Amino acid sequence: MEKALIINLTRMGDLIQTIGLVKSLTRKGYKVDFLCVESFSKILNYVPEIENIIKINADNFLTNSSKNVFEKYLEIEEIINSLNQNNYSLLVNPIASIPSAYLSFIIKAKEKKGIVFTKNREQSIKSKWSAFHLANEHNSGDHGFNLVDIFGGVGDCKISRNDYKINSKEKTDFGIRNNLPKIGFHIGASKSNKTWEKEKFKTVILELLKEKCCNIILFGGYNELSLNPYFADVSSNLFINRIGKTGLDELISEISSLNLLVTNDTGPMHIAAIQKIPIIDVSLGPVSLWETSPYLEDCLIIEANIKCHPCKFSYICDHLSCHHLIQESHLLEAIKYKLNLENNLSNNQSVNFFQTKFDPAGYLHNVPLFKKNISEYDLFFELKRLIWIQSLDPNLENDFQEKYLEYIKKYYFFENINLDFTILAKINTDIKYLLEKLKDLKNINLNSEKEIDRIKQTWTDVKGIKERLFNANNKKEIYDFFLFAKFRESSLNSLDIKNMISETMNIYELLHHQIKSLIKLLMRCNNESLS
Amino acid sequence: MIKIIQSKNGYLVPIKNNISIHSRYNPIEEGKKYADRFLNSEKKNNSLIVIGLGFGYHIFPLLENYEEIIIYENDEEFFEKMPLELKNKLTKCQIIRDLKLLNFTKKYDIYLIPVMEKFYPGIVEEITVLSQTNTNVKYSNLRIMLNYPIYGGSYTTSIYVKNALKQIGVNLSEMDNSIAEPLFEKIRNLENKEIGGNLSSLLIDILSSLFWEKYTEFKPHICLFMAQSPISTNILKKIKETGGISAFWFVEDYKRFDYWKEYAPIFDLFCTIQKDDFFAELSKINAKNILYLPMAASNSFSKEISLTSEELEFYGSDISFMGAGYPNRHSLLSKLTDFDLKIWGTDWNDNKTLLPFIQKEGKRVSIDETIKIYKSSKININLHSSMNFSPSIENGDFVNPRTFEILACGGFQLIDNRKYLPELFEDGKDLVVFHSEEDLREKIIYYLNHPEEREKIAKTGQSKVLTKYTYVNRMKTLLNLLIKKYPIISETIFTENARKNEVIQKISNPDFRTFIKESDFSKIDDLDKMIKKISESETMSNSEAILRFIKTFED
Repeated sequence: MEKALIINLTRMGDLIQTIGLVKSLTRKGYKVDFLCVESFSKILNYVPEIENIIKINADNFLTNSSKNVFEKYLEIEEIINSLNQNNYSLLVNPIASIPSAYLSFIIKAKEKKGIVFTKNREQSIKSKWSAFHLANEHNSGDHGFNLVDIFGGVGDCKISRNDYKINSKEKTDFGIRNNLPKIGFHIGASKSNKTWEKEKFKTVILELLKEKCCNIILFGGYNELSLNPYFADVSSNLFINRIGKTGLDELISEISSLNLLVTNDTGPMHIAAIQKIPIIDVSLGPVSLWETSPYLEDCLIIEANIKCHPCKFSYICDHLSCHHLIQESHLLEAIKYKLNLENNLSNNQSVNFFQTKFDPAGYLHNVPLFKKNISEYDLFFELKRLIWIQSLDPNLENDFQEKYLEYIKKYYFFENINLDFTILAKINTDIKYLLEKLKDLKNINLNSEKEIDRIKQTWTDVKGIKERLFNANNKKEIYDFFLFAKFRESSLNSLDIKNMISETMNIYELLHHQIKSLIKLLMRCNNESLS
Repeated sequence: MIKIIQSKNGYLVPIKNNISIHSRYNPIEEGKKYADRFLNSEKKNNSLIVIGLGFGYHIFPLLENYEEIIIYENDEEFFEKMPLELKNKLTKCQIIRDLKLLNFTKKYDIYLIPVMEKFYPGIVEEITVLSQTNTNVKYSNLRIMLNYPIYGGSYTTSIYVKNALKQIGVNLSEMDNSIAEPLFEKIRNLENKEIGGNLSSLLIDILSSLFWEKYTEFKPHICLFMAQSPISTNILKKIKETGGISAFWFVEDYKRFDYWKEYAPIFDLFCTIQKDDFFAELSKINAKNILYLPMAASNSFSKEISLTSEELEFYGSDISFMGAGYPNRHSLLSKLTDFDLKIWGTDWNDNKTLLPFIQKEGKRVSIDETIKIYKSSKININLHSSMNFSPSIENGDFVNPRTFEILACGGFQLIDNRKYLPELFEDGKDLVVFHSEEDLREKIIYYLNHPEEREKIAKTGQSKVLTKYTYVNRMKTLLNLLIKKYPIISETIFTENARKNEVIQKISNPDFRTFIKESDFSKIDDLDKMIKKISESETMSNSEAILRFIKTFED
């Protein structure tokens, strides 16, 4: 049986989002090992498909660790030597992380997927999905795919919803004797820009308790202990405070016993999703609802309708408008809606309500909770998403495009659409010209001295066109298509020049096809809207 | 003046400065106790240096235990007044008045009874410094943390110290407290001095905490604190508790700044630019670990610069003074206005007499400009500062940095007489000393008319400074003393290196082991340097990838 190694050195939430990949690879016949950071690794004990969990103790590598460089070196070397005895057929590094890219360089495997350093000290992108992910970094992660699907794609796997689960634990009733639904809140104490204010959460909790419509269970770990005094005055027999009282085992068990979890983007949110517990996610600050929304259908996501969200993780915001625009009333209404206590939500321009759905290709999607007119931005976004699926997934049915458009129309009205695509057409003409030059280069006898001047001229033309294309400011909305091409091109390493040219042509042919498809779709939408 | 009394059991005992050198009851028994204690705990070598002669009662019991005994006594009166029968017992011993007569190729035990510590403070350190034998510790093994002051003259000295330590090759971490200067300035200017005092203390606590944070991360073997660098006594105690060694370089006049009273006893080594009276004061407060460490010049002052004719014109003059306008300097220079005189620096503008001679409108002068001034002036006048107008020449003790810096630049200087100057420089050979205003005037005229002599003296002085009196020399002296005095430093380094070598042996990649050995990284443990070195190869090796992984993972 072939062996595969997955590397993920990030936090618990990301590890959970890798579980789908583990199970998919197992279904494909691999024995899967997992290399991770020790402090976050416990969740993987719930994934029986993992043969071996190899842990790196991150504390040993901090700058104030008592270990010297050689001890750190030895520790890593021992792990690598041990791993290299396994003769991995496949190594998957799904995360765009530099430390894991270095490890991917050293660990031996017949095939490597994801981002891997080369001996020339460059990062090589060994997966279309990794190239896509990197190409969309500039979008702050706002690119239409969940990390579960991206990670799966990097490993050449399509994640099935059934893949996304962990071994269940025995449920608990919290000692509750009534029949009211159990709603968990995980609100987080850190004053980060991705955490909604505790005062607002408390207002919502108190209102729900006043209405006696549900039981409230408050969750939190060591970092949330400081919230305890804040909630000490909440006295209701429908309120249970579990902050600081649950280890991971208890947390998994207790979350699985809920009817609904209300949270920001947190580890427990992903625990709920993987256990199929409905979720309301208040998405703030740098959190992209696309990358990290709960991987479960029919979850509800609330985000502010504001241009600056999502921002970058490093950004220090002085206004937090995405927090302020989301009022307590919005969350309250959303909770009642999920509990079927209300049929509708107030229409509010300042806030978006999304629901999670799986699209016709099986990828998680975020669509409006209530059907609305599609804006120019949304249309572009959705059409690009369609094209991305077609570029990245080789196993689509022939009528996938039709199915997808029909699916989108369930959630959006396509009215008054009149998008201008002249610029796109111009860009595509340039790409076509580039492809012609590449074809010329491919057909020249590269060994002929007589042709040297022609080779030089054609190569200069190719470089000039590429430079012009990449430096032009007119392609903002399709910048990811270009970066995708660029990343894939930078990872070409064939020694044969003809092969290199062919592979380069493939890359730009795809770019050409992507833009052509986009133009066609825009034309179609314009026409359909008119009619 | 030594008085002699008779002990209860009839032996003669000398008394100096009202201190009895030996027991007034039974000096023989006391001497034997000291000697036995010393032999039991300190005897390592066959040669002995005894500090202080007294009347020898503490020495007699040791005579059979050492092949060679040298007695250091710089007060002749002891020898003169010592009874003959006691003197005769010491025929085997050599009595010296100058430590430089010691043969430092030998290893000596050093015998210092408690009463002699009062008369010879800092003597053990002085002998250790003079012995200057190599330690087993490589400087590159040492981790040193340097604490800067917030601002002021000693801040510049701190920069020189930092550069010297880097040149020596230690692994250096700095705590630059100048980040607090704007806040400190505001606090200083508060009208309510009580509040200002409280806030200053708070600021020192904050800076001390930041220091401690860095200390726990870097784990230095030695912490070096410069004059006026902020640190709380609490943190100093914590450093001691964790086995850290701390040293302080007090580059101030002890009569002007008295904060040494609180701090000196705490440090493992307290370095000063004055001795004698200051050492006596330090002795009174039980500050035992003291070292006389004069100022120096940074090598950077000797850098070759060629001056354009415009610069020579601008910076040059027959005589110049570069420095702040203290009252005595105003007084002296006002009498030299008949010369081609240029005055540089601040605090001169109130003086109408000197106004025509003040350069750059009395603005601060940069270090580069200072070098140009020293090089271009035919005669640099170096007058140590005083708050008194008169006398302008005070004949103080310590030697200022300017003395060394002028010489390092290759400049010729006329300097006021200082007590410690003769042990550092030879008058007429390295520089020229003036003793009065009239003497100064005569010497100015003489040396203006004898340029070759000037140049010769400047050259000799420069050579001496660059060989013996740079900050690199000073830091080596300080570090060597600390390493010898505190075996824990070399023990810790030995343990660390042993641990590293043990680990390195376990590394399975032979190429990496070779790389470590060849580049001596086993002693340095600097990840950034290792990565830089290993990246010189054309392609990335697995070892390089692991090192880079460690670096990025840390980050």
